[in-house]
Amino acid sequence: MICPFCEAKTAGNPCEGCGRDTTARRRACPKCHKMSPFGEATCCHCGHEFRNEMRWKIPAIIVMFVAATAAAVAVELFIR
Amino acid sequence: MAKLTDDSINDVFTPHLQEGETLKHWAFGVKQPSMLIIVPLMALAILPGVIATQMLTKSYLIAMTEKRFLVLQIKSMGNAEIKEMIEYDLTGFAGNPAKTKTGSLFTHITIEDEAKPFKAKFHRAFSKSNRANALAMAEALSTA
Repeated sequence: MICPFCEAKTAGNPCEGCGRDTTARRRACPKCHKMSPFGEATCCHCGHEFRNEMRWKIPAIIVMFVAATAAAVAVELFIR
Repeated sequence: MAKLTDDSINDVFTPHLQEGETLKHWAFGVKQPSMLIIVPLMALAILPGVIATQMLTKSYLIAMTEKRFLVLQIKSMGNAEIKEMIEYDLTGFAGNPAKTKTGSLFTHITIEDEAKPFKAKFHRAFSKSNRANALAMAEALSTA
């Protein structure tokens, strides 16, 4: 079988080349699009630092609700 | 956004198959945030609530081969770019960590694995074969 991380041929698990668990949960690097183990903070191919998506999603959701509330208050104060 | 088809799903899974493996079943599903999050967000404001729910919803493609159960988290229904992948060896399903449930619309598949947890629901309307495939996988997982 081919190791999903180092892409070398290996007879079993863990990989004989890189020593990683070949069945481990993995994520695609947004920069080089290759697979890295989920437990590693950086891409094992290009070194790209993984960031949690929630780092931008939660602030974006909060901003959206604050904007909706501000718009509702503005309509109530200035238009009606 | 082009909808996923049988051929495009085959193309998505092919690079992740081992030698001699073939896809037996595949299905598209989603994992929505908890109702404890959706209901208050919708109560606060409908449109931002809908957008927030959509942002927090994860899209999955699952497939079963002769040896493995594969889970791909993809960007969205129209964009099959892979974000994350989980694989389960079907021979290693001792203790039956898979729980499945079928309703009139959805087939729910949950895998209670400490290192690789998975939970998603599969709507029958995604494609003609989505429900049949999801049911076949649910059956295979619960008897593995």
